[in-house]
Amino acid sequence: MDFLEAVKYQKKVRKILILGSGAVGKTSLTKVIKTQTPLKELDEDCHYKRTLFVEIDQFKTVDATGTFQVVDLAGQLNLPIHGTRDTTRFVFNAVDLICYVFATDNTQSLIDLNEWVSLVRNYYKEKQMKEPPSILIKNKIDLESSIDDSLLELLKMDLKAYFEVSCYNGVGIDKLKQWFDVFFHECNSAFEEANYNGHKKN
Amino acid sequence: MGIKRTEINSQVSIQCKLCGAEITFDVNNKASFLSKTEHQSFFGTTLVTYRIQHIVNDEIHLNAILLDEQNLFRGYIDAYKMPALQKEDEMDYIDFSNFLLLENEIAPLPGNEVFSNFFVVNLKGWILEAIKTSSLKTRTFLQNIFKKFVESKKIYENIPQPLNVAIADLECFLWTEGKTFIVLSSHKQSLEFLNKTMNQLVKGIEDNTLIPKKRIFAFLVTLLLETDLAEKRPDIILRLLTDDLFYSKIMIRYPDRLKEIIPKVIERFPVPKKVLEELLLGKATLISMLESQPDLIKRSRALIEALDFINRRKLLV
Repeated sequence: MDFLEAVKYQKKVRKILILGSGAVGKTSLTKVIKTQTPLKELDEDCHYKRTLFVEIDQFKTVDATGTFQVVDLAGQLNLPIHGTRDTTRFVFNAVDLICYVFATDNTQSLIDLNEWVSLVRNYYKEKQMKEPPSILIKNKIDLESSIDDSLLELLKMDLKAYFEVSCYNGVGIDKLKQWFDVFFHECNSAFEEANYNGHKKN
Repeated sequence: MGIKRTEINSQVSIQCKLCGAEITFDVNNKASFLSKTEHQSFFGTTLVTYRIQHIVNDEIHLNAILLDEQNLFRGYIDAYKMPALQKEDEMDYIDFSNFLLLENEIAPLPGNEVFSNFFVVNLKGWILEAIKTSSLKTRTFLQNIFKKFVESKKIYENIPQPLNVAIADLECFLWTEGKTFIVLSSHKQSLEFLNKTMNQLVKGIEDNTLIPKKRIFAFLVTLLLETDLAEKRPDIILRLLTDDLFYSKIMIRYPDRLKEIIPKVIERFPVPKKVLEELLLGKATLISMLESQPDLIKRSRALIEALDFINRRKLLV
């Protein structure tokens, strides 16, 4: 793992795992951050395109010095094969940040996060690995909300940050991107500090 | 977001997501909502989805809403419209003429000092006449009861249990659960003391845990008339009507030690020695003994507790 951390540091790459129910906008989120263009301004149509198994994408930090590798999984956990069951090492290992996504107009997608969080926690606990930090993203805030905000408070306690965005009109995306940049540098600083302390001990 | 609690724990009022109208339902009354789905713990809170509906003009508005463990509104899962069903489908009119009279070969009990009529009706198509005044036209009577029920559905958010209506010169009481109805007519003005028991029974029939048989209901009538269990221990009534232990012949595992066991049991529970002996030697079932010896009915509770006491010690075969 230390080796992987060193490689990520040298190559200036950080790994993000995006999880959440189907059709909440996980793939769109990466696309909008990467292109810096809201969906409504993209030339493509905005219809739902289902991620069948896994999509791997990447986007640069604002200063273009670093890269986030994004692992985006299918939102339907009941598929015959699923990344969280069939390619666990590829999905969960060396993850720097987990983004849980749900949609404003879909209360069920918020409830489903309970299952996603349990799945993640069980994996890292079973493998005796440190669970990466996580953030919560409420997408589709351009739509009418059907969720009582008090439910979110139950989740927020264990989270590093919480964002409200709309991939459709781009609201909140800049703030999220800025946070990713800060997080990228935090990861590097943490690695440098750990390395420095390690050398000092030696 | 449209949250208002009218009563702690059970009455919940929410706004229809489609039209904004207030919809009230009772989480303890299955008839007031369409379905209920319990979710696993959501980060320390238990959430339950209730599907509820109300009718607006020619439309049914269906809302799936999320409540927490304190029945507080936590969000809408879904909301959609459907065209309202035809009146007949909506059960505004039921034709009882084709309903099957269960165990028609066994005559119903005649009226007594408390009940003049006692029917169990299931809208799937059957009627059980437990007590009947000889001159009563059952189906016509039920047709009229049902008209009152439909009328009440229109004016009440949740129909009172029991619904008290007057048909001709009869004071009638109606308990409902899903498609099951218990209809009583009584010489008494109030049957409040029966409420818990009847609510359990109507649920039991609806859930198929209680079999609609005349023998069972005849026994029930005796229990209601001869004991105060309906008011004080409705759970015992339900057990007496449903527990296989009381309808089967049982046998003590160690008949040769019966002489030592019986005194220890009757020391704790006031039951006649001879009755207990016959029961434990499999000579008769508890129910048949209660039916044949009406004096024993008042000791139903003690007999049940004695049998439970023995059964818990694994002394029955």
